[in-house]
Amino acid sequence: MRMQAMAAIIKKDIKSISDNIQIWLPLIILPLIFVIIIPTVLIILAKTQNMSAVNGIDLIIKTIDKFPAHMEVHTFSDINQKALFLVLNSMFIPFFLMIPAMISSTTAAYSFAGEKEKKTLESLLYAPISEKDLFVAKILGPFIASTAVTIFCFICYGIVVDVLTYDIFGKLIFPRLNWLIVVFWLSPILSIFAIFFNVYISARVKGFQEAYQLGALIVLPIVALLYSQLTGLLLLNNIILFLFGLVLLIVSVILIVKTGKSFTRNKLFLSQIK
Amino acid sequence: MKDKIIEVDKISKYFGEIKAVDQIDFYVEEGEILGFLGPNGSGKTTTVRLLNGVLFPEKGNIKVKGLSTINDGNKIRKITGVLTESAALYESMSARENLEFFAHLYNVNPREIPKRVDSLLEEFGLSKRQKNRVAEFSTGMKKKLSIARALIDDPEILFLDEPTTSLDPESARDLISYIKKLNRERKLTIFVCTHNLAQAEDFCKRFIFLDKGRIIEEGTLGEIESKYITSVEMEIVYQGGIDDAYLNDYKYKKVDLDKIIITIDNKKQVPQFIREISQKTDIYSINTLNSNLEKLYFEVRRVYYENAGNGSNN
Repeated sequence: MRMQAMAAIIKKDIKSISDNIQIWLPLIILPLIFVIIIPTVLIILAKTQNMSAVNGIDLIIKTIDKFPAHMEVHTFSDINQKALFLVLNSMFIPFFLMIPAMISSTTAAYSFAGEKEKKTLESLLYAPISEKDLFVAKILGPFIASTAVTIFCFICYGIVVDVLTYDIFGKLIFPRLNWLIVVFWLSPILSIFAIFFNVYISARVKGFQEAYQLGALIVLPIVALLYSQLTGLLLLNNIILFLFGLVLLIVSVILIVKTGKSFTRNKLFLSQIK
Repeated sequence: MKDKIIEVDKISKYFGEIKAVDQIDFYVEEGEILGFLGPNGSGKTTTVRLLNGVLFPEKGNIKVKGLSTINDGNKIRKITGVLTESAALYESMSARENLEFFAHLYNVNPREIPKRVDSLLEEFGLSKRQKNRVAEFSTGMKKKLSIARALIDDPEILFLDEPTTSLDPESARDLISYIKKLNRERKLTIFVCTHNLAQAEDFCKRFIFLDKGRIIEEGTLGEIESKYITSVEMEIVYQGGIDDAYLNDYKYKKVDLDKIIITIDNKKQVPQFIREISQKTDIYSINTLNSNLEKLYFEVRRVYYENAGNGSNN
């Protein structure tokens, strides 16, 4: 592996994303909404409103009842505390997963389809860099960007939640093991899945916008997860989160093998000039 | 004869039904400037891509410095620099950032990169604009930067695809001088694809004429000329008259009172003609009007299409 060339590609990809406001603005707004605005509003609501009077609370109460008796949520007697703990510690997980999914999907689309669209892929292919090094470097850029933002968002979310809820619970309620699984197991795998999904798409489309739009399909399994949890069909306990990551990992490996085979200079070049 | 640095053995490349390159054979000598000439769509750029191993031929073999483009692509790309119209620069990056980025890709020693980049920016007159984004550059400046990029790792073979397109006449002239200098001083082998025949004639030493993916002629200007043009045109400046009856044995036209251009059908008749005409009038000068590349190019194409029998050379 030629680290010098790979590092240059990674640095260039990250810089080109940070230089493009159309790319990074949505990537800032989404985490801002999910990890600061929504939890803050929810916590303020829980502090000022009686949650038992809120529409749809029945659904949350029913979900809480489905949790095994030893779960921490049952240690709280107040309905506001229970609802808030459940929302912030469990129900928010699918929302949070949108962050690595969308960031890796967008940056990967920009990294691969963007090179095709701007006709810079041909310039890269004329350089003496192996397909393997190019492949790994192009994947590491979006992966590093996605992981860095995810961890940053995790820290921000933790600060918002713990600072604003300390007076309600009298203790720090974040993070719990499920969040560690989300951030250090599920999110990286989801990022890898989203990146390879985009590599697969990018080889078949002409430009960034097309890849970006198709890449948005990545949120569908997360929406399904959100819906399942909201309707009580599936509780995102630690085992489910781990298994969800495992399934994604297996699918990602299949995608890696499939996309890796078509990542040859000749095929990349033909996709560029199509 | 010098060593062959590129050897192409009956390569073909198809894009679906289209034969972009069709069974071509040729070589490039070390240190020569080869002109690869042909109209748009004749397969020039595809050949450059094949020679650099970014496209693989369906048939045939290519050796660059004895290395196979299929198995040793990276070793070949390490010794080549490429300028094609379709390989773009990063527009959101500055001129300097572009060159630095490609220097890293070509594995140039990181300590050498600033010096190398400075020297290329200086060479192409881009030093003052080195921090500007490439998107702000004119087409000509982008072309210069692309050539600088092709030279970033001091290549042994330089591929230039339409190097002077979109350059103003002065920049085109400077670039041609620079290419000649690179060839002369560094013994750089240069493969130039162009349809600018006047410029090609100025700096190429050997030519390959391409048409619809096939080679229709190759050689030096003199070699090709000897195959296609047997007659000689001479411009004669004299004083006093020449007997029209004598001149009527030849094709000629009077271009001035004391100047004619005369066509001798066979080169072998030239010495005899000069002896004869010297006895008939006072000759001040006789100049042979060489065929230029453009004339030769169209003659080659005309003969090719005539022999092929399809009559169309558009």
